[in-house]
Amino acid sequence: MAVDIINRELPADLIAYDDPENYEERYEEERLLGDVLVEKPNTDEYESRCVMVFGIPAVGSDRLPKLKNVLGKLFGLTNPDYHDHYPLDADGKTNGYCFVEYPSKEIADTAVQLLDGHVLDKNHTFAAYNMIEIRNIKEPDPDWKPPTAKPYVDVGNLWWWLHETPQALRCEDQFATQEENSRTGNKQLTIWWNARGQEPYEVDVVVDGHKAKATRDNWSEQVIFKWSPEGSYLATMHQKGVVLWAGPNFEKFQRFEHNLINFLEFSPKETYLVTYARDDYYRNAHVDNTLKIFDTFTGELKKTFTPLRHGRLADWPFFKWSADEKYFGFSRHGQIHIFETEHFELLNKVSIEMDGLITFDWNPSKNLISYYCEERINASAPAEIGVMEIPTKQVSRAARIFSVSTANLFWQKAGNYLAAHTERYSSRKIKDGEVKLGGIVSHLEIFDCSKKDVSVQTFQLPEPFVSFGWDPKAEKFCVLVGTVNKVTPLVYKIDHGRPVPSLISQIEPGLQLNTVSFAPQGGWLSVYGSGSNAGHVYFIDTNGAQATRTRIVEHSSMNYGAWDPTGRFFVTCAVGHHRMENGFRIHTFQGREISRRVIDGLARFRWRPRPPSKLTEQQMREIRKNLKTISKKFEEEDRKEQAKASEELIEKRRKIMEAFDIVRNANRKNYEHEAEERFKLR
Amino acid sequence: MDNGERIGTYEGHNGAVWDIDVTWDTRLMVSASADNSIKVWDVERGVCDHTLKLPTVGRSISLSYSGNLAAFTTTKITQNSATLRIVDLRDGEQMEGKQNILLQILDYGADSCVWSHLDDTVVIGCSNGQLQQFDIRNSECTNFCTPHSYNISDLQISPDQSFIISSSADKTAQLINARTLEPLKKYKSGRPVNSAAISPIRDHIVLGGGEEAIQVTHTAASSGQFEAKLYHMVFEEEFARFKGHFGPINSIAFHPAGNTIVSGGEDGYVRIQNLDDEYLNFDYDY
Repeated sequence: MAVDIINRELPADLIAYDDPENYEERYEEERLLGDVLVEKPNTDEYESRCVMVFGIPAVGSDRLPKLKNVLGKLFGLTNPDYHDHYPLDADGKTNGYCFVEYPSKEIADTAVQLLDGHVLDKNHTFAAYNMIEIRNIKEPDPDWKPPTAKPYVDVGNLWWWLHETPQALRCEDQFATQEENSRTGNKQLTIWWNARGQEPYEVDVVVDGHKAKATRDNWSEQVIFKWSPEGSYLATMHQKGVVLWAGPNFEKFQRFEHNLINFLEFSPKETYLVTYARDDYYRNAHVDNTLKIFDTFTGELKKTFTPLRHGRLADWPFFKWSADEKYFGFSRHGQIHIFETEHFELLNKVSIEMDGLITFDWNPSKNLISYYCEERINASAPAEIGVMEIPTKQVSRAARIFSVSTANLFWQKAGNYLAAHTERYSSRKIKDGEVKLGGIVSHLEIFDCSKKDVSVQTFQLPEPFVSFGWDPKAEKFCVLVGTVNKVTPLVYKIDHGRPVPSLISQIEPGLQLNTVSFAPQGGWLSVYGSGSNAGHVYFIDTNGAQATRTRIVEHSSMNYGAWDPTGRFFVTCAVGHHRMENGFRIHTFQGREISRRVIDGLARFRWRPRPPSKLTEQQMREIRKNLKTISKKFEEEDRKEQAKASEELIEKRRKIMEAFDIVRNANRKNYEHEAEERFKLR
Repeated sequence: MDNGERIGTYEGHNGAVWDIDVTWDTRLMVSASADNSIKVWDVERGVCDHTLKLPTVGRSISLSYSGNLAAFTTTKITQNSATLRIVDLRDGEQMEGKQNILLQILDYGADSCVWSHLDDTVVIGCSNGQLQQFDIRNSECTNFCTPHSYNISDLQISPDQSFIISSSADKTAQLINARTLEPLKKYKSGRPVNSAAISPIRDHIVLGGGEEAIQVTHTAASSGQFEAKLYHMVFEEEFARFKGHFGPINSIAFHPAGNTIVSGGEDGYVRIQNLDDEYLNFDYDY
C-alpha cells in the first residue's frame, strides 16, 4: 500500500544523505541577487562624481546658510542637480573646504574646471579636485626637506673675450667650426681667434689645471651647435638635452633636460631657450610636452607645449619672438597665437584670426608684426599685406592687392621699413585641373613705419625677383633680379621727395647670385651665389652717391657666407660636401682675401656674436670726434705686431728647413758616393 | 711643346695604355696595357720592337736607371694574382715570358711602381696604401711603410733619386725618403690625388686629382674647375693653383727644365702650363 511505503524506514545508506545537524542553507548573494547587486553603488564610482573644493571662507554656523547660498549659485552653474556637504568642526565653523556631489563623472569634471582657480574675492581663491585625485595624493615624505639652493656656478666673466684678454685689445673676434669625420662619425668642435690680417689660431683654455686648446671631440653630439644671440654661451646638443658653456675656459654653465632633442633656438636677448624633440612615432606614438621653453640663466622650465596634437606646424623655429622678448607667437591655420612672457599665457586669452594667413614676422626693433594673407579667389578677397601693433592688435596699415600669387616680406633691422615683394599675375586659367598663371611680374611695396602714419610706396621691378636685403640702418636696400644665369644686383635709396625709391647703382649682372648680405653696420654688402658651383661673391660699397662693386671673389661650391659681428670681415665657406673641397676663406669687407683653410670634414662655421655696446651715446660721439688721435696709438701697435709675427714665422720655417736639410744632405752624400756606379750603368 | 701639335702616334695596343716609361737617352719606350701585354718601342721610328704577353692587365711600368731592366705590375683577375715582375729587356728568354729576374705575387694590387735606386730596388704603391720595396738581389720585400689609408695612384721619384712622392685617394700626397722609405712630408688636398711630381729645380711639388668620371654625378656648368696645386715641398703649404681641366687630372709631370708642367686629364686633354718669372722668383721668407 502507498502509505506503507512512505512510513517504512529508509534504508541505511540513504540516511547518509541527510544534512548534518545545524546545517544552515547558505547561498552566495551573487547567485540569489545577482541582477540586483549590479546596481549596488560602487564607492569609486561615487567618488568620481564628487568634487572637493578648498579655499572657501571659514564661517560660523550663523552665516553658514548665506555661504551655502552664495556658493550654491556657483555650484549650480554646472548642474542644478547637486548635493553639497560642509563638514563642520567642533565649534560649528566650516573648515575651509566642502564637498559637492554631481549626477555624473563628466559633470563633476566640468565643475572642477570651472571651480579650480575661481576667485571668490580678494582673500579666497578656490582649488578644486575630483575626489579620486585626492585619494591618490600621497603623504609627503616624512624626510622631505626643502630643496637646497643650487650654488651659482661662477664660470667667470661671460664676456671675457671682449675684455681683459690680449686678443680683446687687438679686437679679435672668435668663431667656431665643427668638423665631421665621415668615416668615424667623430665631430670636433674648435673655437678660434680671428687674427685680423693673419691666419686664425685656436683659443687657449685651462682645463683641470693644464693648458689646452678650445677644441673637443664630440663637444656637440650633433653637427649643430649654436652661439647665444649676444655671444655669452655656446650651446651644444646631446641625446639628453642641451648644455651651455661659458666663461674663459668654456665651462659647463647650465644643463637643460630634453630627451632626443632635435632643434634649439634662443630668444633675441638670450633670456629664453626653446627646445623641441620631434614626436617619436616609431616607439611611443605621441609624446607630450615635446616643445619646451626654459629660462636660460636659472635653468627653470617655464612652459611646455605639445604642438603636434593640433596638427603640423610650419618650419623651425616655430616661435617668433618680439625684439624685447615681451611676446612670442606662432601661426597656424589662419590664426596667430601671441603669448606674453610674464605668465606665458595667451595674450588677452585670445588668438588673432586671419583668413588666408600665410606668414607673420616681428619687427626687429619695435613691437609690430607684419602679416601676409593670400588672396582667396572663392571669396573674391584680395591678398592682404599689413602691419599690426602688439599688444593693441590695431592694424597700422594694410595693403589689399588683387592678383597676387606669392609674397615675401622683409623687415629692416632698424625697424623703420617693411618691404614686400609681390608676384602679380595678369591671367589665371584652369587647365586639366591645374591652375596656370600668366603674365607674372614682380612688384615691391615699401612700408614706411618710422612714423605713426604708415605710408606705402609701390613700384614694379624690371625683371623677375630673385632676392632682397635691407641695409640694417640706412634707408637703402638691394634687390636681385633676373634669371639664374644672369642676376643683376640693384641698389636703391629711399628718397623722401619722390614717390618711388631711386636706383643708385649700375652693377653688371652675375652668374647664379641668390643672396644679399649687408654688413651689420650697414654701408657695405656682399651678394653671392650660395650653393652654386661657380661660387661668385660680389663685394659692393653703397656709402657713396653711387653704389659700386669693389671686387668679385670666386669660391667654388661655397654655400655659407657671413659677416663677422663688427662688419670688418666676411667669410665664405664650403661645408658638408663629400666630393668637393670643404673649407673657409676670410676676406676683408672689400673682398681682399686674408686667409683660407682647407678642412676636409668642415660641417659648420659660426662667428661668435657680440653683446650690444655698453657705451653711452655721448661716449660714442667722443670717440668718433677724436678718432684720428686715438687711432695713432693702435696703428703703432699694429706695426710692431706685424714685425713680430713675421719674425716668429721666419724662425719656425728656418727650423723646419734645417730638419729637412739633414735628410736631404744625407741622401746627397750617398748620391755622390755612387757617381761611379751611375757612370757604369749609362 | 711649342704649339701643342701632335707629332706622332705609337699604334699597336688593343686596350687602354695604363703606363709608359722612356730610357734616359730616349731611345726605347715601354708601355703597359689593358690588352694584357707590355710593348717595347723604338721611339724615333715609332715602331713596336717587341711584345711581351701577360696573363692579365699590365697596370704600371718603370725602367731602371740604365734602361735595361723593366719592372711592371699586373692586376688580379679571377685566379690570376696581382704580380710584380722584373725582366731584362736584353734577355730573349725573359722577353718571351719564360723567365724573370723577379716574379713576386702581391697580396694587394699595385697601380704604380718606380725604380728607387739605380738598377737595384723597385718600390710599388699598393691598393691598401702601403709602399713596398723589392730588391732584385733578394726575393722578398725588403722594406715597407704605410703612409696612406686608401689606394696609391701614382709614384714619382726626384731626379737625384732622393725622394719619392706618392699620391693617394685619401686626399693626400706624401714625400717619402727613397732610401729609407721613411715618410717625411704630407700635402693635404681637398680631393683624391691622382698624380704628383717633384720639381727638378725648386723645393716645390705639384699635384692633381679629382674623382673618376663615373663617380662624379654632376660636374659643374662652370667648366675648368679642376685644379693642379703647387705646394712648398718642405713647408707643406699650398702657394699656387692653376685651373683649366674640366675633368679630373690623371697624370702630371714637370719638364726637366722645371719651368713647365704638363698634365693629362679625364676630359681627354693634355695641358701644357708654362710657369712664369713670378713663379720662378717666388720664395718664402726663411
